[in-house]
Amino acid sequence: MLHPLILVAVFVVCAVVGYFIISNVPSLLHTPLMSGMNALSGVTIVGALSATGLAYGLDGVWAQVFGMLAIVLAAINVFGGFGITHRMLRMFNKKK
Amino acid sequence: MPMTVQIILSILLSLAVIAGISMMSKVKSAVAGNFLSALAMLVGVVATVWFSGVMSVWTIYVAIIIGALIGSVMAARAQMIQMPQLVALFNGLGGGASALVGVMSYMGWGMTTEPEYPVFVRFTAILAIAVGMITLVGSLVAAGKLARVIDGRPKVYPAHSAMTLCLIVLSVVCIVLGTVYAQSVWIALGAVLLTSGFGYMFAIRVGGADMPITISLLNSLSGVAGSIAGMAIGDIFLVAVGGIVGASGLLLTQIMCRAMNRSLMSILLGGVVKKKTSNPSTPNVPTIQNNPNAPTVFSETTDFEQLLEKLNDMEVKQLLDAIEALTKEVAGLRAQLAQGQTAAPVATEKKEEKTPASVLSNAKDVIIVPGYGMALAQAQHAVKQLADKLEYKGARVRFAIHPVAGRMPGHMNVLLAEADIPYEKLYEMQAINDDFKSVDAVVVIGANDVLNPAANTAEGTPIYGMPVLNVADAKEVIVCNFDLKPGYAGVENPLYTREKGVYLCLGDAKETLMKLINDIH
Repeated sequence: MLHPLILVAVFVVCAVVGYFIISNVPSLLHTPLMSGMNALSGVTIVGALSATGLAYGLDGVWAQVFGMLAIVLAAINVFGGFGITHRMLRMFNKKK
Repeated sequence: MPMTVQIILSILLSLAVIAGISMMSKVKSAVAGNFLSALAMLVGVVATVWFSGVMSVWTIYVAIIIGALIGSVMAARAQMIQMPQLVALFNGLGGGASALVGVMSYMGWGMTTEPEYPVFVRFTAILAIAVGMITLVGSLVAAGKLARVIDGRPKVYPAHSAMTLCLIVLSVVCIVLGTVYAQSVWIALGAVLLTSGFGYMFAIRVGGADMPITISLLNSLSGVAGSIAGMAIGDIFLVAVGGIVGASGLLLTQIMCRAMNRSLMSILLGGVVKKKTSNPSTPNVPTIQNNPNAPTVFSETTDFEQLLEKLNDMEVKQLLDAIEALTKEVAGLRAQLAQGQTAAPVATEKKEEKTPASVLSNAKDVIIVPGYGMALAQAQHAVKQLADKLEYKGARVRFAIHPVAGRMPGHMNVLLAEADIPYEKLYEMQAINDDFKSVDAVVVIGANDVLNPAANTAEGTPIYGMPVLNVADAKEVIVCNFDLKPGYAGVENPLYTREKGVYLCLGDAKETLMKLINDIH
């Protein structure tokens, strides 16, 4: 496993970068952007996948129930989020 | 060495996500940006499954398919007007998933050996549970309020602050205990319940008008929850993307706060907080006090309510007809009685003969102010027709979009885009606010709070201090609202009782608009 300090450092660096990438968003795009970032926050699905997969055959039924539930919830977030964002953005651009 | 490959891949994918988000902040590249983000996520998922060696586990595929089906169907079926609650709901589910990953990590499920840094893993795991549950419950309350399943007004329980503080302290105690003691079901359960309680208490206290900001904040929080869950299981990709989303979500929240002239703390601490500094960029709009003809002063609520009731009772059409007939009669009598007298009063009387349609027929420069009521009445297409007709007659038509029009920032733009109104005609508040006094007419469609001049004067109300569209500056205002009841924020609008230059077309916006369109010549 990676050293905790590396993980914390990655978090800090990404947070700083993340804070500066959207300085200038027209309010026109606030809703799609929020929705898109919401879909991205479903990235926790990778955590759910590896945790569930690793627990398989090792930690009994409860681990699988919790894990599958986590994957389902995260997948709804990811697929729903990207889908709805795409629908919204397409409407802005359908003219051209 | 797979670890190095994994790290390099994570860095590349994080860069792709960053590029995706920044592309999404421009209209032209937004669709591609969304694709790029989704692609990065897909590669990340496949890589994770590959690197953690769980390819052969069938349960994960079943779960993915179930979730993907539910999510896709919801995304395809949802109406644009439901967008805010849908985003809140999705967001909550993501937070819930992070909390579950925290639970699994805390219980040591899926760990073949003792972790190298047990204290760090326990601390981040229990923290992921905490942040995830706050996100889940807070988002569900927000979604419920927006969908009107729960009462939208801020709800404050007796000793609300004390109870909230108590929950925070107990949650912290729980996190400390969880860091010290491993794999205790009771501690995990305690963390889930206490932080859920906190999430409920903080979201139930936020009023309807502030909900967009709450959702945005929860959105940021769900990124942080994912990132912490990533620390607990040592997944660098998850940590990185969670951090990016958390920070950019926070920035978006601040942008929205600035648009509403509210501080984040005052929103979270609930309900009504006074803020003295008024935005210097917004000039004072004339308020009811400046209007000697207005029958009431805002603070005298009883008179005001009575007046509103009266106005509600009367059919506006009848009212207008009566005025028209009366003025004609008076003018006729005057002409008969005193032919030699000056005709000065006639000018003012002529003005009162105007109808909404005649005002618009002569207007060369029109601003349309759409609000959530337009969306509720499904009147977007009627609005588009109105704009087309006015433009056909040679008028210049612009749309003034308040930053928080609708139920979340930018919501109105999405709704208008759905009706094929080109986004070049949509103007942000700052860009158009000084033009209200010079245009010929303003058409308000289902909007209330965002143009309520009381925001500048009514201290102690939820909208006090919020910059509003200066509709009250306009010479002629046509209001196509369903009724005259206060909007989402619950504050009466003194504009409706202004005597001159305000025309009320009450009723279903689709119908009143169609009538208006037909009457314009």
